[in-house]
Amino acid sequence: MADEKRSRSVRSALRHDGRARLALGLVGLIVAAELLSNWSPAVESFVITTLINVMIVVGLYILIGNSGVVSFGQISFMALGAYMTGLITVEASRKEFLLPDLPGWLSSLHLGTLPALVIVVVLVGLIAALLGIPLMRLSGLSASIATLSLLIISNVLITQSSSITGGNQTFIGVPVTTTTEVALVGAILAIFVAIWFRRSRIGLLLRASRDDEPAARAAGVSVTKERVVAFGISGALIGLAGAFYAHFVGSFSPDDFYFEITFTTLAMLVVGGLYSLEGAVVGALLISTIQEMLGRLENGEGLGPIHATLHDGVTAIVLACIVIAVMIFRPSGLMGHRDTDDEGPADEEDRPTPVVPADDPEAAT
Amino acid sequence: MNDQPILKVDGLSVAYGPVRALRGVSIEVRRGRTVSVIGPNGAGKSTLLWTITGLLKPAAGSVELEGEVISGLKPETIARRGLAIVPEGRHNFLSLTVADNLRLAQIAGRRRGGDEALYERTLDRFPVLRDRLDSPASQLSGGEAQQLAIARALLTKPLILLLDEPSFGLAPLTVEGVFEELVRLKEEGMTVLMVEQNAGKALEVADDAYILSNGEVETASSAESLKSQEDFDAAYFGEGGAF
Amino acid sequence: MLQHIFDAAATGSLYAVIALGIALVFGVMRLVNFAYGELLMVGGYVVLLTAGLPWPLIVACTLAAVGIVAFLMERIAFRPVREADPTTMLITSFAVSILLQNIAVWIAGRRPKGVSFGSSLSEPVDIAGASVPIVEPVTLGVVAASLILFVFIMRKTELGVQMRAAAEDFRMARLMGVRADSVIVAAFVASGVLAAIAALLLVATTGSVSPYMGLQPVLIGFVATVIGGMGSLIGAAVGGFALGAVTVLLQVVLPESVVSYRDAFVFSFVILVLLAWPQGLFANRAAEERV
Repeated sequence: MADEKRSRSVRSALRHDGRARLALGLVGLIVAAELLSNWSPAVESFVITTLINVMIVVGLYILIGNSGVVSFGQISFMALGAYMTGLITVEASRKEFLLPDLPGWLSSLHLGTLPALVIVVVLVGLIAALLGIPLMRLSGLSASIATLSLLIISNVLITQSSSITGGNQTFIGVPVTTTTEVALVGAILAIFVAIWFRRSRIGLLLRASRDDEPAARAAGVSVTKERVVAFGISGALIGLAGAFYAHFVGSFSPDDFYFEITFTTLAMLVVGGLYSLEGAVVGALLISTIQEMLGRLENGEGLGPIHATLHDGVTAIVLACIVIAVMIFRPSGLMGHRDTDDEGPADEEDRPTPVVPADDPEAAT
Repeated sequence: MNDQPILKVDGLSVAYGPVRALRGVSIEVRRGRTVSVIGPNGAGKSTLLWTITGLLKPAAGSVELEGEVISGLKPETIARRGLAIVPEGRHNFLSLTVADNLRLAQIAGRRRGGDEALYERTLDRFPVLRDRLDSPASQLSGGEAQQLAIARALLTKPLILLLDEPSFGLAPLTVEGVFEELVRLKEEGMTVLMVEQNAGKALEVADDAYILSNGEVETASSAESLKSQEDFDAAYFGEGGAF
Repeated sequence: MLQHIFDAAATGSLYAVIALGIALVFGVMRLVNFAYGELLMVGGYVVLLTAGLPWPLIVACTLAAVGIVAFLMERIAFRPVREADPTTMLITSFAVSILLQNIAVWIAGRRPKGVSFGSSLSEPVDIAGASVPIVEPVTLGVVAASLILFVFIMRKTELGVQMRAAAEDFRMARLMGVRADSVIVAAFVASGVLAAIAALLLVATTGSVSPYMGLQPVLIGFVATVIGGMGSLIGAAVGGFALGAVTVLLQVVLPESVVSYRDAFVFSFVILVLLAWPQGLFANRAAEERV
């Protein structure tokens, strides 16, 4: 009894500690973002990119971190969000010129950024949930291949439906409204949604199923339903991130939402830790920073006192090597399974490594 | 003849995550003996065999084959040192022909001095297999499949033969045949370690027996004395679920 | 019509080789190898580098180089994660794919480069009244010969028997003394050789190489192996052939406006197949009892 009491008080202390860390982390994020943004326009654009990356990676975490289903298709929703907000917010006169074949009602539609974002969240979330109904019946490799197929399908649809999207052409003229503050709101919103979801009943059930799917199914948890919810929320957030991205860059093309960003955002999550929210954020910040620094060197812009020029491709090479190294030496990511505000004190971390015959992991069912 | 056991399991503990499946299990199998490990479902019998074969890594304790520590080695290395297993459910390679299944075993056996004579002797032992060399293993009946699994193990010319639930999933008449085969192997001097839920059958052929319960060795004695002991009933049937 | 049949058969047999290479590695270690496409890409660049040499030397260099890269790939990146879950392996292979792509970008730049290898093969030849580029019958011949050799190795050699056994039940194979390392290395090298063959045929057909040339083939390979049943070698080869043939024929049959959506249809079909056998194709062995 005494033991239990003590462990409960340890737990609550940790929770408070966790809350303090969360608050500290968020304040740090806000202060850093604001300070850096005032440095120079180039740094500001780096800050905004990073915050959008945080949104995407946290969106990935909501699905992957809770359910263990690794989706390669979430960037489809980013594309959807970007094109949707573009179609809503570009001025009617410009649309007529750029996309003459657009259906009439879409052509005359013109709303401000805020209503557009609301529409994006709702519609993309719904579409994601609907697509999730069949897709989330799958697990493991099947789910990964199916979601990869989704990414390819969405790319085909975007490039081929040129009357609506402009096809392979760059989609231009989206009002540039994503400031550092807006991006900060987005990133923090994403983090809170993720915390809320993780603590929700659905989140708990999903994590139970992640660790032992057959057992969860046997216990009557219809994992599919919970996964569909996670897929929908993840899709809505990533769709929103796509809209933010569109309002940040102003112009984009289908290739911006394909394999490259799928890999970099997944790399961010993997490096931080697939199953950790803190990891998602840290991974996004870390990799975005590395990417920015190397990217500048690659473009010959120099980095403070460093004026070396890196060859094209080096950034991706470094990134790929980081991912491979993490997979080999620390497959649970930099943050392991730790979570800032987790109720149970790092229970996942302390668990002894299961000793299951490892040759054929799928057979461990 | 030295008195060293062929197989010695010493203080073996195995854990699946937080669950301890085996706790300090020690058993010995001497040359030419048939040893049965019996116990109810979930007692850790299969875990014991898997750990001996190297598929599972022990948390503590060791396994020795002819005096050399084998725990920690790769399964294939252990197999090459002369440990053969007939797994539960047989696990023949169904997409391969009977001949190819045997050939695979021969590859392993050749390194241990297995030759054509051993191959012929094995086929004489199981004439059914000789007739079906070119059929896929998937077309064998349950009894034939069990014969193939045993033949395959023998062709590797093992020091010791491990059997995991040899009667599992077989018709009663076939079970009879399997145990007759075991008696024959025993007469030929084969060393056998068997895990079996069918305690009556297992004790009939065994020289020594261990009762495993909740991951621990409850009783170790000669099979003879165990058959007459009361605590056998208590330990075995008391757990329920065995029959 | 005969001409279209030749087109279909040539594309189909190319896809069959590609799919076989993916299925081979998947069979022995449950790895869906994204980086397989980059093996093809490496093959393409080796052809580019050795372009001045007599063709048998080009072929030999390509086979050797891609085989070595496949070997190194297994050794450096995949062996350390072999015991990890399929997700870890999948992400690793994604990273290896990006790594190799960008090494190519670093060395040779992003732009596609023209290769003259086999340009004489694009000349038309008359077969039974149809005029087809020589490269098509050559492709058919090369693929047929490779497959016959492959089947022979798998059926008749000891290594082949061990690989087939390992592909069916990896643990049981190990329990019978089959070395996990050797079988997996063999599978990787063999998949490298298949990738090299595919690369040679592809470059001879298209006449160009680029860092991203591996993407399309690897996706095709995934689709084919999924359709043919992951882990089944024959299934993968047949799936590849069917996919190639059907794609070409659809190109002919469907109206222009629909053809551009072809890949969307193909990948929707993949999802449907996966949904129809949610446990099936990938986990066909897991459904059995444990060893």
